Amino acid sequence: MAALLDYKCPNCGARVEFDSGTQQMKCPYCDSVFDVEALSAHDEALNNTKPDDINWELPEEEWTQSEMEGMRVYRCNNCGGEIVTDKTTAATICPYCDNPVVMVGNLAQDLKPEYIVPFQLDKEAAKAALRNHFKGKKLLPSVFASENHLDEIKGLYVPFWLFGGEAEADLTFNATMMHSWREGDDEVTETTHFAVERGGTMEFENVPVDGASKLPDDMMESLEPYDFSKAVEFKTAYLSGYMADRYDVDADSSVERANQRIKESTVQAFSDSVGTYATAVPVAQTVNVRNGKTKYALYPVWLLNTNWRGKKYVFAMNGQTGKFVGDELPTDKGKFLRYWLMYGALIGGAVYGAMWLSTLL
Amino acid sequence: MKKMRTWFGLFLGLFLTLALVAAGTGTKVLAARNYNHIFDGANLLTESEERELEELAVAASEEAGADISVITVNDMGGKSAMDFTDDWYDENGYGVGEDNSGILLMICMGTREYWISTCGKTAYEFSESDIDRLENRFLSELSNGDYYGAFESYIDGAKSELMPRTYGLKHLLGSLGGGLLASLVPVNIMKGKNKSIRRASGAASYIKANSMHLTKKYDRFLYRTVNRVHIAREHNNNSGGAGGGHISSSGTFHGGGGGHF
Repeated sequence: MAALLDYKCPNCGARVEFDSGTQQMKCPYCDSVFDVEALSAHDEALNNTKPDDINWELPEEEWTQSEMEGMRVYRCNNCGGEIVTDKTTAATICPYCDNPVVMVGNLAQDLKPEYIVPFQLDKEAAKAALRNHFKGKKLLPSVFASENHLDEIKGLYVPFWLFGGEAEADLTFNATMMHSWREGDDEVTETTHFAVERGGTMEFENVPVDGASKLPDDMMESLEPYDFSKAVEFKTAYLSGYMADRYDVDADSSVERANQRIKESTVQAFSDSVGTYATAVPVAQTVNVRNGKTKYALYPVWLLNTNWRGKKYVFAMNGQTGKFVGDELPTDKGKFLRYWLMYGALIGGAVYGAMWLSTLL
Repeated sequence: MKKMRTWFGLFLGLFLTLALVAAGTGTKVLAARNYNHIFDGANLLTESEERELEELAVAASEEAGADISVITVNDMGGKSAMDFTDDWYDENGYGVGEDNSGILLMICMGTREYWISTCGKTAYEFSESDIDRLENRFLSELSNGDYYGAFESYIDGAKSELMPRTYGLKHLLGSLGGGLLASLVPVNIMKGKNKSIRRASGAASYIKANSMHLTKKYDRFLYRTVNRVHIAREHNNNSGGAGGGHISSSGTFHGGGGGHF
């Protein structure tokens, strides 16, 4: 059941792509613009006229079982070239004819994404953000920005599990209030101790955990937050022109991380409600999370692979908000030393000058 | 980078200038006088000791820009230690400059009392705590009968209290060392800007609006503790006292302090 899906322009027959600028499908050849819904319906109608070739199988004898595990082979509908991808790829670009292709087969094996946040920012915005990322970093080697070579830039739909849930908290603190006054030659301090209990519930929505093991979790979390209110119902057409990954970490394994974050925020919120005590030390805390609905959504990420002097630097941009993060940049040791000495001389000089000033008073 | 070097040079130049100016202000020429800085009426010192202390006192007075002197007596003629010392100071023409600035230590062997009298500018510069600090430098030696040592400590102490403060190379190096230590903070903050990937903490941006319900809210009183700390006042262990200032019989303003040894 491996099939490639591409959308033909009803006007000229060329392949149409999703355009992030207009949020519609656009034909790059005749500039016709189509609504996503309309084109999907049109395409479905066309497909329904042909019987599905569901018995088509891979020539198994040519591949060992272990090789089969991780890869898939497709034939491009446009040029007939063979495309080899790994099993988590859901959308890519044909290396021979540069046509966008969507692997329906890879998506069909699992849950279908319920929502998708379409790309709001294009490739040029990502390139501009990369250049901008280097600005204002005073300890970055001066040649880094000009020598850092962009190897690859790709728009990727990353699979995310979105967890919602209600957190129930029960916290106990030992809190004190202090009051002190003077009694003759004595300084009297009165400390009043309280047992402070706070409990209650709060709800969380759409806490994201990325479902792609290929992408580092800390990088994906650094790109947050995404605005889920801009998410739309998933349509395969949105994938056209971008890469997309299928999840390979299931919801059950991802829920732990979401609950951990929910607990942290719940403890924080209820601790803030303790009020004005001099000290408040938590002595007992219980947080139970009752998970509600889990959603499967695709979020847009621009990935930029670069290298500088043989070392790879990976950057990522939130395709919705433009938030840009990346691997730790190198520090110029000479610049570090010079700034250190300069600030040291300024602070030391100011202190020394203040000593002299104090003699004038 | 050129800019940085220029700034650094400017600052260094400024401090070297300050250091030179300060080094020059320490000396002041004293008017010629006809009395000794050391008057040993109770005969506690040998002649050579007296000569050495005299030289020491002359040099110290010159450096400090104020008269630093000592008198020893066996009897105060019925006067209080304070009055006796103040009067001695006024009647014998101690002090430098128009305001007769100086400091005089009086030792009375008959009553085993001592008094420090300050006059003129010195009286204003010496606070009670300065007098206390000066006393502590020589009191133990005085009690032990090491008079030469006690007077030597007194002259040195009075000089260093009166000398205008100067900050030399040691302070400059100390300041720069401290500056370098402190500047590690901003430089490491700059270095931190090169890092942009961090794990998220919490899920605060995903809290459903107004979904927090506080269903349990108890603040129970447990117990109360009271802690008393006695604030020790500074007491002179030689039962002496230091005055804030007073007018002597001849109408001159004096400061000072003293006690028994």
